[in-house]
Amino acid sequence: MRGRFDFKNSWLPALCTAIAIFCGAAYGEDDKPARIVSINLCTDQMLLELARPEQILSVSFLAADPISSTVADKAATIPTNRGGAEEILALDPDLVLAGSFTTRQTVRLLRNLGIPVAEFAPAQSIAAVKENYKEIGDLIGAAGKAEAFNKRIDDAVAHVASTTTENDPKLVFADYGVNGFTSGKGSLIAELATLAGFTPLADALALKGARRLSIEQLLHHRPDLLDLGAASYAAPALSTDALRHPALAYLTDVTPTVSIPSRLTSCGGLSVLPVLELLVEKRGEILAQ
Amino acid sequence: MQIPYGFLTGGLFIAVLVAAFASLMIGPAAVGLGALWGVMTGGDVETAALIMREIRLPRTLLALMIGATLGLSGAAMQGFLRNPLAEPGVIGVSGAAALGAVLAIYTGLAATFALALPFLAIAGALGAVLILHLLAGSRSTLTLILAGVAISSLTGALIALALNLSPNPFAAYEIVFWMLGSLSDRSLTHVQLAAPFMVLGWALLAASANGLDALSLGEETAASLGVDLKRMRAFIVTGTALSVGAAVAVSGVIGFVGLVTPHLLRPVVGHKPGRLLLVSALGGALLLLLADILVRLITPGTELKLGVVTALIGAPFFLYLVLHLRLGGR
Repeated sequence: MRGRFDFKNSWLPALCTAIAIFCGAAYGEDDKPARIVSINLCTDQMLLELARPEQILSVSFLAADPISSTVADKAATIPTNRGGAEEILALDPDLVLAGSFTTRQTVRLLRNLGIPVAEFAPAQSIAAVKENYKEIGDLIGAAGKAEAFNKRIDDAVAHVASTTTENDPKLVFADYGVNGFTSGKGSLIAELATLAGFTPLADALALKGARRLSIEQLLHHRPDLLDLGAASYAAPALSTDALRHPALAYLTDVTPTVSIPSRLTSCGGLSVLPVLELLVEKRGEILAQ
Repeated sequence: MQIPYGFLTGGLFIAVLVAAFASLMIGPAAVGLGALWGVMTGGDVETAALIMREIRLPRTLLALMIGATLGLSGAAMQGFLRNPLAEPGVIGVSGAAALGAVLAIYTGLAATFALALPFLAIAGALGAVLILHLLAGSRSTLTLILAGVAISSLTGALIALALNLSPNPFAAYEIVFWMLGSLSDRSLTHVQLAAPFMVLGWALLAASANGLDALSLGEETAASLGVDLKRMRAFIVTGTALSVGAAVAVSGVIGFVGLVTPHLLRPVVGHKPGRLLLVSALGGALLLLLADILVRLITPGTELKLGVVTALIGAPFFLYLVLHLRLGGR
């Protein structure tokens, strides 16, 4: 028993130090990480957009799934991982990008072994999207590209702001997703709808973040624009089938709808720009009627 | 404290009607009767009618019919197996039906052929009833419960496996629905799908009322009284599988209603298994309607699963029964 203890005490730290020195050496040579692994869909997407392909060792398996990912085409040629510490270690990365809410055990283990891990929260606002772009850009040596992305976002937001005024009629927007969730303050889709001149239904009901809304409440409040685009899964499940409820079908018959796939707003990125454009266009159509 | 049969059934019937009316009146869109009446008589009649017809009516009908199914099948199984702990949820019949339903839905079979959902759920329930009958018969309470535990855990594991294998990322979270049951956001389509099979099952179970009375005197006595035991067995097995299978296919597993209801009502009807059937069906419907009203009132918005409420009432009752019977005794 005691022998095993000594083995652990002497070998594990040594191994960690070895890896840390190696990583340090890799950093010293080039100054920019050249062996980057991402284990979270949100960091995958920004990495694939910003980095040179040869910098990327691996991204998470979700990045290659066209339903979840906005850059599935770019991820198609890159090896994918499932965020396990073992497979990440075997790749011998010099930088790991992770989400700040998922794969907590992996992140802790990698840090203990001396591998640099940078964590990012999924962006729930346009400001956070820009901040994530900037931070990842700085980290991987793509600051210029990140700056250009952020300028495109700023320009689009400024353009939309110039087209709406305080006196416009207030239209209510509601997204209605899997399991009856709708989005309010503190979510990207609600911010985009607000920018485009809508009031999110959740805001009108003083609900913050993603909140469950019954079909009854949705019928009762009658939004001007309804987004049922979140459930684009081919495989059957009760939570996605519920969006085919007869009462909802009636509502979509009498209400203008859009279909915004949740991948465009779940992490945030340049993918929010077409969403903003679509919402502005829909608003124009509704007001014209 | 025996109550005259007619009086008892009449009273329960009225209570069920009142509870059904309350269930129609309660919902998140307009809390309180007055507010809803205002909506109905006021401007937006169309919306109120839509909410009533498409959301609350199916929910109320399903609570009523599924409650009746569970109460009735619990009473029939307890009489038939002459075993006070028999109940579709506890002994794994509902779990097996849920497995059938899960296979029908998540493989996409139910989407192409709607009747596959009740069919597979009924097949699952039938399999479980037959296994239990073969293994435990009417001999030992302990054997029945152990066989039930085995079937419950096996079907539970297989449900979890099937849902985890689904490529839809939300499927895995629906284990909770199948294990604890719920009636929220069900539609009239579900009522149409399940009702015919439930009614057929009820008819078969009701037809065995006289036989159950005779059976309570022992198998030989029953046979000498002219009861066709084989026929009765077939009726009860098929009736339970049809009604419970169809119920679980649209609501998930709702436990303990079939256990508690017959026990509460048995002394009141004077320990006559035949008479207990109708009374227990009414009692089950009442209990489930009340439980479903409760889930909407306790946590409005984020609804509690129905099985949470029925288990909170039923599981302590089950423990009490186990202690009372001291198992193995029979």
